[in-house]
Amino acid sequence: MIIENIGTFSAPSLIIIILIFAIKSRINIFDSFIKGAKEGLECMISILPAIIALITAVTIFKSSGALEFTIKLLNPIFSLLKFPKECIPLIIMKPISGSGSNAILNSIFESNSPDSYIGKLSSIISGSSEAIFYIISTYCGSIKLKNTKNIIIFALISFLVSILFARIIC
Amino acid sequence: MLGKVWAGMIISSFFCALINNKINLLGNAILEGTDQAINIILITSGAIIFWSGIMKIAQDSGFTRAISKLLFPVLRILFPDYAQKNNILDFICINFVSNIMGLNNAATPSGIKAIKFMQNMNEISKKKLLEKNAAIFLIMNMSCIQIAPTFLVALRKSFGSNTPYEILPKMWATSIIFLLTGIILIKIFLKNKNKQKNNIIIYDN
Repeated sequence: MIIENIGTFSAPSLIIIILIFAIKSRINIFDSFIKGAKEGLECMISILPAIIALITAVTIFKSSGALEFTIKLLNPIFSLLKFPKECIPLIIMKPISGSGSNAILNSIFESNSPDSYIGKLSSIISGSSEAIFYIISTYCGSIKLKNTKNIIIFALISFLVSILFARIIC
Repeated sequence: MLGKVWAGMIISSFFCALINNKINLLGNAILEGTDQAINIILITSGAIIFWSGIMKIAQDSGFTRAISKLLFPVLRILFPDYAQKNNILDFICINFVSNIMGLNNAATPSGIKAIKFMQNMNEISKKKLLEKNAAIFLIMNMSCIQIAPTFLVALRKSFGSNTPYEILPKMWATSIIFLLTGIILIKIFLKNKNKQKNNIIIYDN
């Protein structure tokens, strides 16, 4: 009960702490807000094409029966770890792309309530890590590093351990 | 990578539809998908734009800086090699706090600066191999502990969740497990390498 309330209180209390801090530091609060909100709007516009591409692909994948087939194919492996079969596509997509996993999360929520076990587990899987391959390509690209095999293996193992943990506590 | 996955999904869907005799559904699916994408953006954008504004206030008022300072001792333990090099720790702090607060615009530039410093300090394996601390830093970026995961919460709300925020503590715990597992893996792997290579910090084969 208390733990669930921490989540509910975190957002409003964060806002209040930030605003009190801002009043003390005497900046122009409203100008800052508008500036930031504009950046947020630009961010939304910049992810729109990716979201359209990926949600459409997921919808096509789902309606053609390909999703069902993939789940059937991978279910033996993931059922060993006791993951519900609805979460398999999300687990595959999460390390590859943030927008892609959002698209899959959306399709999971269409058939499972966000408050159900599957809904909660999927939310945790999608929110608890960043797209591994995206981070590696951004940062290792910036230092022109080609040999990334080990960090990829470490990251994928850590990801698997963390989602196993999520399944147990969920 | 993503491009191939994306194209692969659509192409395999076509063949699957052919086998399952659902080819007539494909055209509809395209329209449905684009429709849904716009819907999602519209539903979640209000929350995201609002939080961007709040986080900008946090940035401008020096709140992120203050939090960074609080984290300094923790990061000093995590990166003992840089205990005397405050500028690197500074970049790591800004990157970490920006990630926590969902300020991606601020997180990536400071992160790139930090990893460049780390990699340049590593004389022996410069450019060819990833440095140990840089590896831990990457894991830190991947495990993204977010105080306010706006998109996720907004999406949960839009699908009728009564308690959209409820999952947050469990989500943070999962992120921390990700981070710890990664650090442990890197540390164990390195110990063996160090013995072989006479205490030279090399991470990779």
